[in-house]
Amino acid sequence: MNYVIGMCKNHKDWICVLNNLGYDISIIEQRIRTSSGEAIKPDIIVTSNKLLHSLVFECKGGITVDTEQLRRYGTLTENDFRWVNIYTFDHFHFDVCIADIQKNHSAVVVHVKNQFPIITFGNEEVFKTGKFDEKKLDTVFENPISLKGKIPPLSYYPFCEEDEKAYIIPFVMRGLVSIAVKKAKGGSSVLERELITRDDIIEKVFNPVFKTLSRTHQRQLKEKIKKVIHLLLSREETKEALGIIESRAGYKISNALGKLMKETEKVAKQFETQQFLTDFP
Amino acid sequence: MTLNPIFPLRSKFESRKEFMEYLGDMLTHSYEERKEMAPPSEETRGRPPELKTYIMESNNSRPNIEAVTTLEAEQIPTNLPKISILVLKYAARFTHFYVDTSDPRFFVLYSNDLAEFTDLHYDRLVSSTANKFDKTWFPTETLDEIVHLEGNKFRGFGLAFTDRFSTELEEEQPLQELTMDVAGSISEEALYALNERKNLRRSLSYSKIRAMRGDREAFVTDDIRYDGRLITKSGDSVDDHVSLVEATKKIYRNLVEKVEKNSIGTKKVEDRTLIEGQAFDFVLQRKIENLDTFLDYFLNPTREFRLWGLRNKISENRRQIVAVDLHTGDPFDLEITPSLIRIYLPKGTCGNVVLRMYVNLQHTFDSAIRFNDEKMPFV
Repeated sequence: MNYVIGMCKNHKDWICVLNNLGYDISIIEQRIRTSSGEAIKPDIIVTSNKLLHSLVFECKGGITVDTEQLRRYGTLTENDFRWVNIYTFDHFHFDVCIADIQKNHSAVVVHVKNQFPIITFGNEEVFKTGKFDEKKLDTVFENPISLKGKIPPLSYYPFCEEDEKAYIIPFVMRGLVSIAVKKAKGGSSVLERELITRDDIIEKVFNPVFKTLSRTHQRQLKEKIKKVIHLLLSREETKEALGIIESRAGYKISNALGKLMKETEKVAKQFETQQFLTDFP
Repeated sequence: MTLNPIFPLRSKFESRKEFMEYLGDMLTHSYEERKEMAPPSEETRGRPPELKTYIMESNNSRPNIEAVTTLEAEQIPTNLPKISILVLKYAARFTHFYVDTSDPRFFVLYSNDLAEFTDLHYDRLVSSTANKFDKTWFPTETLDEIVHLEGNKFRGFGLAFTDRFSTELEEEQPLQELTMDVAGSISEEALYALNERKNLRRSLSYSKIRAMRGDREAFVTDDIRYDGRLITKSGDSVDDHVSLVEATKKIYRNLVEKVEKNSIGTKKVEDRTLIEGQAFDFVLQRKIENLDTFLDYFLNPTREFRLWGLRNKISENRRQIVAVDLHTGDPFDLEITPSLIRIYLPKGTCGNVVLRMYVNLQHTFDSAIRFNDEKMPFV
């Protein structure tokens, strides 16, 4: 997800091939009912007003491919893009595209076959399998694009409800610290549980792309964040350190912040099964 | 006890004009005394006080002066709206500032108490955990632009670079510390000469530039420092001084707002919620040898960066940081490699944090750092 979003931006140290063609992010994880009555939920749709074209991405971090889901993507038509902001639907067209990583590519391609083009991110290069309906994309990806020296972005889309607790814990701890520091400056207390699990707080503090997600996804994510908040705030050391930060006792704050760092490590270790972040091959 | 009995505090002014004249008296008094070379005394330490102006950033809709715990603080209103007196006390010393809050985000503080105390008290005020205050942080290239504004003349500069990040792993430690003051009408030539030296280029960060504004009839010469302080060195034109302060503030506001405009957020277009904005890239000309050692300083909450964060090791040469800006409590994310620092600033986060990082990196790590691979945008 982050690699694709990054391609729509203009970073010197990442490939901006989609940005160059005028693509920007339209929607993330939005459920769409197609004209034939099927439901799909693309990970991300990017759209170019220059080309009057949308790219519908299904991002695969692993080897699992839901062939039923791929079949449903096949029912998507131009009439189903009501969620997308486009200059005109005259001559509008689209491609469904799979984004995967190199180490899983051989398993993914077996399932996808030639149904949709695939963009694959490897260590050294990104390359295409299959063909796009949009010729300019075919041209841009005709030859592998080198990723040597490139630094893929990782934080546009920080985490989702499928990520494991060990991965989410630092984000949630950071959110609690943020609220505690703000409390010292006149905000609400981090110990007011009802307050800190409000949607606007979750969006601001825990995940800035929260608002772009579908309602179902928001609900699932919120539940996961609440569980991690409960986990962290059930620890006396965490509560005590957050209380010190809220108290404005400036000279004690750096110690309290150090303690919270250790707390995060301890708690995350208990849940460590997932490799931190994308296993960029 | 006050430091400046010659200038009793006034809380009543007939008009803003009268307040400006009062500032002018402070300025002229300081300048005249310096001209006469006042004799040394316990109070003045042998040098008459200069008029000092501090541009402070405030994210508080209503600052809470009573809640400041880093020193004693009292705010006394005057009869002019938006002008008040701030009395600060620390270690048995008082300082007094006239505070102009006409701009709700960038306050201007004036004082002609001794700099060794006003600077100390100001630093403690800004670092208060009870308020969202910060200094204003001027990149070297922005100071350069300010001194070359219409109506200004370049009259000197200071350099200050201290390497806070050198490690034993570095084979070369080209320059650990550089401090220099140069003044005069051809001081720019000294700057060009320094820039010619390739080995110095990573350490040429302005501590200040000296700008003269005005003409023979009326002028002022101010040192404008990288942390938002202006010190009047000569001249008697309060109008030119305040004009310079306003021009400096305007440039800074544009810079911060440009940063904030490009921060990452969501926007509603009809029924759809879209993502806008992009992460910022600091491109380093000097490579970070050891990421963890670098971060130990960079994320230390007691250091000038005022950050805290949790780090996540992505690979040997990459870390992801979930960070908090301690001046506001705002969360944001960073990614760091040996040659790049990428900053994801969410919408609504104060852009001052980006400038604070950038400027302090210029002064402590690499003065040749580039912002999105250009020099910091001057608006």
